[in-house]
Amino acid sequence: MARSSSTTVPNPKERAGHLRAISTEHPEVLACSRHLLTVEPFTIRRYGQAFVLSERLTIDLRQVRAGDYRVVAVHNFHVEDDGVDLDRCIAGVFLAGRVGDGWEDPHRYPVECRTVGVLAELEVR
Amino acid sequence: MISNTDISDFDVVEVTNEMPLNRIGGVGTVVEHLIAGLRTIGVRALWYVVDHRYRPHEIDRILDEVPSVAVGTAEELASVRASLVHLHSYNHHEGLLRATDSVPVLYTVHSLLALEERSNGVRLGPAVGRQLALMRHADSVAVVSDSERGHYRRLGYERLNDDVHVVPNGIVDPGRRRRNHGDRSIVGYCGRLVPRKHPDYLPRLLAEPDLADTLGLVAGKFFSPYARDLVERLEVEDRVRYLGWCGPRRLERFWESIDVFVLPTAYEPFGLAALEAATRGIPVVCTRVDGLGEILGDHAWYCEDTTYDAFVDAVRRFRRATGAEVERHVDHARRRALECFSEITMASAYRRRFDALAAAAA
Repeated sequence: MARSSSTTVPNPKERAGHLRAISTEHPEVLACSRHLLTVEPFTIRRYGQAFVLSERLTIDLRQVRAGDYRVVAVHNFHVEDDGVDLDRCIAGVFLAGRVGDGWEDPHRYPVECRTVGVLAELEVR
Repeated sequence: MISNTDISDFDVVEVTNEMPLNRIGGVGTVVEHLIAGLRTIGVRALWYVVDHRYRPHEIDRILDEVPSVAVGTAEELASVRASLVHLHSYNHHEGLLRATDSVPVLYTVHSLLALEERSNGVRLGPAVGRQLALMRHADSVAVVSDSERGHYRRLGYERLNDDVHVVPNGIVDPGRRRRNHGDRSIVGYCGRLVPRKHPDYLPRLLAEPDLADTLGLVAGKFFSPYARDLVERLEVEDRVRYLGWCGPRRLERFWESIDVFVLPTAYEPFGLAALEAATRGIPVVCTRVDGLGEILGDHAWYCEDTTYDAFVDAVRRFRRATGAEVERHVDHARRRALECFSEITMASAYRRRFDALAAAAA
C-alpha cells in the first residue's frame, strides 16, 4: 500500500536535541548543539569504585530516532579494560529510550552494562 | 586476505575466531598459550582469523603483536597451502567447510554448545547445529577433558565422528604469586557472568553474617538486572567490585589481589580460570564438576554439589583450614598443574594428533 502523500515524515537531517533535567551532580558534563550531543570526560564515584570516561564523546543525534531519552552513565562492559587500578573502571554513555512509563534498562541484553548515574534527559525532535 | 608473513610452508593452519586480544571467551586464552607451546616444540603454525568480530584497529594490533597471522574470509582460506587444518571456530559460515574439504581437519570442541544451552537455560539457535556440522566435517575431534569426552558420547556425537581424543588445555607458567595464606577475606570470581557459573553465589556469600569481613572481586562480563537487584537487596553493593571485561594486565592485578578463587559452576568443560589460579598458588573453592576435578585433583575445597548451601559450606571449610593445610593444597595443585597442564604438554598432545592425521592421509 502506498503511503498517503499527506503524512509528515520528520527529516532526520533537521533533527535537533534539547537537554532538560540535567543532573545537579554532573551539570557540566553534557552540552547539546543542534544535532550534536557532547559528553565531556567525567568521573563518577559509586559502589566503592570510580567510573571514568577519559575522552570526550560526541553523539550525532541524526542517527537516533526522534523521542525522549535518558542519558545514562554506565560501567561499560563492552570494552576490554586493561587498567591496573581495580577501583577504577571504564565508563560509557547509554541513551535510554522511553518504554511505556519508564525507560530502557541498560542492564538488559544486549547492552548488559551497569548504571552508575543519570546525566540528563534529552528530547530529540 | 591480509597477513604479516611471507612464509607459505606451514605444518598446520590454525583457524580461529578469536586471538589473544579483546577475548570474547576462553578460546583466545587457549590460543595465546598454544601459540607459545607450538613455537617451543618447533611446530610451524599459521594463525588464520576468520568470521571474527574484530575492528580494523584491533586487526592491526594482532598483526603487529602475533607472528604468522592471516586474516581473511573462509573462501580465501582455500588459497592457503596447508597440509593440515586445526579448527577452533565456534562461529563459522558454510564456506569454512568447503575451504577445508580437501585437507585433513582436526576440530577442537572448546565447549559443547548443547551443554551450554542446557546449563545456562538459553537457546543458542543455529550455533548448535553448526557445531555438529563441524564435528561431522572433521577427520578427527579433540575435546578438552575426559569429562567432555563422556558428555560427547552421551550426547550421541560419536555417530557424527567417532575419532575423538582428549587434549587438555595448558598454560605458560605465570609464576607463583601468593605465599602467605593468612588472609582469607578477598574472594575472586572470574569469567562470563552466565547462569551456569552461578554469579549470584558470590553476592549471597558476602551477605552471610559470619562472612561480613569479606570483599568480592568479579572479573568478567556482562551485567544484568538480576545482579543489580541482588546486590541492592542484599545490601552488598559496596562489598562486591565488578571489574568489567579485564585485559591481561588488569586480570593479573586481579589474581594478585585475591586470597581465594571461587568457581561454583554447574558445567565446566575444562576450567581454565581454575588452572590460572592454581599455577599462581591461589587456593580454589569450586564444584567438582567436569574438567575441574581433573585439573585440581584432591587439591581444592570442593562443594558437595552445585547448590548455594554446598558452596557456602566449602568456603567455610577453606576459611577454617590451617595455614599448613592451605599451603599443602596450593603447593600440590600448582605442581600438578605445571606437570600435566603446561603449554608444552598441550602443544605436544596436539602434535601427536597432527602426526596421526598426516599419517592417515598419506
